[in-house]
Amino acid sequence: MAARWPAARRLSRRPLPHGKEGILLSQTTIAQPGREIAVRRTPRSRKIALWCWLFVAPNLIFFAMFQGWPIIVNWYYSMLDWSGISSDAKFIGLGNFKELIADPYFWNAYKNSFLFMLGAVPLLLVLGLLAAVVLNNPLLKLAKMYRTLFFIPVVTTASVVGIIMVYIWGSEGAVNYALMKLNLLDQPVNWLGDPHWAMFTVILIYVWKNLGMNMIYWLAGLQSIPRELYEAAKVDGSTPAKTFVHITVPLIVPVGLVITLLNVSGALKVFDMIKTMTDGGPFFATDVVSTYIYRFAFSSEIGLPRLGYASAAGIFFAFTIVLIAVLQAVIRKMIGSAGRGRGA
Amino acid sequence: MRVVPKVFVHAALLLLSFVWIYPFLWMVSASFKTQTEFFEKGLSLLPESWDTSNFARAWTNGKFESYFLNSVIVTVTVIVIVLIITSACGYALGRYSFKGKGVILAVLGASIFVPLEFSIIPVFQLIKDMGLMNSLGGIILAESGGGHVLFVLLFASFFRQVPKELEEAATMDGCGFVRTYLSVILPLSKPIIGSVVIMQFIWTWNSFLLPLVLTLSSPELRTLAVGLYALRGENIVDWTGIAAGGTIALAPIIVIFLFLQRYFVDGMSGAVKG
Amino acid sequence: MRGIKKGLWGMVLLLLIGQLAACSGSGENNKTSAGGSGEADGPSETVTLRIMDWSDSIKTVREEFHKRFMEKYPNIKIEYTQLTIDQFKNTVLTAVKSGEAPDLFPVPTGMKLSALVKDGWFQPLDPYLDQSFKDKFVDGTFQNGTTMANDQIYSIPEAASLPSSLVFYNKKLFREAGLDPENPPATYSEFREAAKKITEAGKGRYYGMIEGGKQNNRWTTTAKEWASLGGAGLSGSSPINLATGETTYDSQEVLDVFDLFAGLRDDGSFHPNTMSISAPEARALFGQGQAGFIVQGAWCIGVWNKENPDLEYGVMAPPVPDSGRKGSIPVLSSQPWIGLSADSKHPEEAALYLKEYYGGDYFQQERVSSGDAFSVVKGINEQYSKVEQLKQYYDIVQEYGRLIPDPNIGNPASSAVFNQFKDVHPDLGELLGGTVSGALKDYKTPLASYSAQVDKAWQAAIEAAKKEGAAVEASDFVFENWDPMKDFMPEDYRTSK
Repeated sequence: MAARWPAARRLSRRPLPHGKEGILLSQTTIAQPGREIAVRRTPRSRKIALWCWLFVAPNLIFFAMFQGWPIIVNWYYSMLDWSGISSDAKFIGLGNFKELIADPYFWNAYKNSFLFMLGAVPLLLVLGLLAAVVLNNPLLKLAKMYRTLFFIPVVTTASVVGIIMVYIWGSEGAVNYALMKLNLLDQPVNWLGDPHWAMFTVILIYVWKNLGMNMIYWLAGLQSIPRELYEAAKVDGSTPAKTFVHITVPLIVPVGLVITLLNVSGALKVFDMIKTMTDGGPFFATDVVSTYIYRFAFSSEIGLPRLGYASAAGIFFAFTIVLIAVLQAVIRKMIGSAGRGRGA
Repeated sequence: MRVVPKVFVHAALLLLSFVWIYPFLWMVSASFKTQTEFFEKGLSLLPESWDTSNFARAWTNGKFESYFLNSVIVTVTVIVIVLIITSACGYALGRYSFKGKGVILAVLGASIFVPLEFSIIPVFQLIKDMGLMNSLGGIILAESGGGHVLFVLLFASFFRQVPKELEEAATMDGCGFVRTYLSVILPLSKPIIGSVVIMQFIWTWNSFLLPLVLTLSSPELRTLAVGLYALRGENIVDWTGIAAGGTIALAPIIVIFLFLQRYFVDGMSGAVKG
Repeated sequence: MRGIKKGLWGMVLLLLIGQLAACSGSGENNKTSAGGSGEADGPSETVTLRIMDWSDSIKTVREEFHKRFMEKYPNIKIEYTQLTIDQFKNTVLTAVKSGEAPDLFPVPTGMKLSALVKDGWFQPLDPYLDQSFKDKFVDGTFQNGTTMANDQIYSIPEAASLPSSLVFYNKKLFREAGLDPENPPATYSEFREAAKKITEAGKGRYYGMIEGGKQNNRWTTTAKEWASLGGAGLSGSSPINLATGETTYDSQEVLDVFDLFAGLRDDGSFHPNTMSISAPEARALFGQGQAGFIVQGAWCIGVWNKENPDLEYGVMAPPVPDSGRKGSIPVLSSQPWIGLSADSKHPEEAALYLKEYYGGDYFQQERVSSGDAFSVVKGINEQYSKVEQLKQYYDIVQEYGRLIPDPNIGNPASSAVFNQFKDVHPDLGELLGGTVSGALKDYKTPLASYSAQVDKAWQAAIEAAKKEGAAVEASDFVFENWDPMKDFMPEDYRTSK
């Protein structure tokens, strides 16, 4: 991830196309993003390095206690044949992982997790940015009200949303009613109960629920752009569309990357919504890794639950994602440096 | 401004908004329906019965009168803690390069993909070993826990954008590291602070399992979300009660949101003139 | 920032004021529970009894019971927490691990009492309960392997165990579809035909059948118990056929049930919402007259009679294959429920609670007369069961249900095998749900492979249990003298080997 940041910064410093000296000037003098302040080995800077660590420390301590430690414990669990209930834990090394890899339904859940992420994240990013840009316009009357309305689904608890959506997307719900009135459908579809439509529907509802949050992130990002830039652009006679492409987009890319990361990790870990709406069904059509884990960790029909196995599924999933992220960063870096080499 | 497109924009936005909050309106209307009406006239947004017993039931079952205050105390404290630690961390990581930074970023970043929702045991054990079981302190600590990677990154990427000159000027005025951060840098990050407050508010406000497990022997310390779940049983589900509870629980969040909203528009006035 | 702070603190302040105003009344109680030994209400200190379970269908009666209990024993304060089963498992597990377990809590579903006793979850109840209390219960309530372990009582059943796979039908819809409400369908073909007729008569307003299709355990129960009525010998208590020791999930009896459900699906007889709702939602929609049939348990009766007083419904036995009945609905011997935590500091008070719960003059009586369930206490059902449908339900179970052998009674050590058994997915219920949703066209192959996998998992579980030193054999799970048309009685365990 650290590797991604310089890439973003290159983008944001990309020179603007022809004849926009005014903007260029204002960008370099006012909006030039502050560079990192390197800490050199002088007494003063040693003091600063100390301050840096002091500033980082509280968060690191909270991380170590409540996230780092549980992850380590989970690693350990993942190598046990253990129900989580009795004291009969047995160390079995990689046995759980072997079993996991051999289970086609784990791979189905794995595939569904990515499918869900790939379906939801682009929609969230694009629509969220669109909503933010439209509702960021201070001249738009009632913007405050619209923003609130768009935000409401975010704050409604997932279990309540689950119950509501089962009805709204059910055979006699509002969605079918509207689609049939519009002659787009001749007979009702049980969107969440039909194996062909369930994933699509779950993604749409997830996007609906989380769009407001994305709008807020983007608004925060838009806020960080100095207004002088826009004024300069206006003086230069730039159209709103051009201003958006040439000024807004490059400057919100760094925040955009964080938002993307946030969405990706959120979507890959989705649980509450799927649990309440479909519980992974019909017949595993919306079964994602977290519902798979839940099934093994808590609900067992005859035998005891299998906490060890469930932990292994979680660890394996996270490990492969990190691996993908690292590989992708490395490849991008290689391509990037090759490209720059040619350019120079 | 051209008039026709403006009308068009509002019409589109209004329609979209209606579709958007239809499920929410449905919930509010369901909270006034009887169970029978809930199923028979599912589509209608106007309740016939205006049954307020749902709210009464949600209120007593959810023990709102005692749980609400717990929720507020826990949520407010957690937000303050999280804001302090994440903004400080984001500042150091976003502004300075120092030894060990790369490792910190890599570890924090890699951790966010591990699904930890179900491994409550280590956290529970930790709180217990610290002697904080059955205290609001324990809940607050556990709820504030975690890496807050996303918040840290939001702050870091924001602070990165702040012109270096501001800091240099502050240093020249004789501000130390902490004062520069507190009086010059932090006040700039209002939009991010707003996002973090809202998001942490939602998480903590709705958190269920941790407050439940950490207050096993003192139910009087439970939070609202724990009370609300009592409406959803194993065999019997009180739909209209849940809808009423959902409506009640939603109100404070909407207030907070309306309140924080101006930080996203503040200072933008006149910026995007389209 | 200042604005945020001001607003938030304003809110806190407001709430504090409200709280203070509200608190003045309850302050006294708090003092008492903090250990006010000088209070006038009794010689002993106030004790808080913590109870946790998931018995939500009887919640209002339970709360009234607690109110009465606390009035009778003012020095005992009851703190009752009700969760869903999943939440309960999650919570109680963490609680037991850290010595924070509630005083009284049930054996979680799917777990065997003897394993939990071995792990030190519960303490025996015998020291706190006298013989006259034990005599109150119907015969067979306390048996080694179910509610008892090592010849000591650790747990008491919640209610008489009744199967939950009987069929409720809507009499009004029967008439509208031209069917005889007093003569419900008895075979698979008749059932499918009736469902089809109801669907046709409904014209989209109601359908033949509704189920809580999102809830896998409902499909599993239906598949196993209906197939057993056809002679499959399956039950919820073990993954194998207890007569042969084999896994027979691809037997003709099971396939017949799947054929029936696939047929109902092809006819469009299922309510279109079936696959996206849970059992309580399906029950509510049935209560609204949206479907002709629903497969459910006795606890529905109390709910419908309260929520849908106009609903005209009857209860019938599950249909049998066209070739006739060759088995029975499996009825389990009494199931363990509530037990006393090994860590409980107030066993005497907990025992007092149990005495009032089972032997008092309110709870069992009220529960039975509300139509929620049958009691395990002698004499209560005869005197208080007034609800017609509940009586019918009971009679049908008497006719079609038979006690099945319980390996835990035959050899209490056999619970070790269940503890080692690892569930196989997709299981029988998931396959039946998949069939109804239309995702599975061919169910024969997956059923065969499920059978093979369960067999493997079962053999592995036996091996693992043996390795751990449990005195078990595969033959402990085979009862050759079991006749599914007859109750398997305690004496049959002796002759089975």
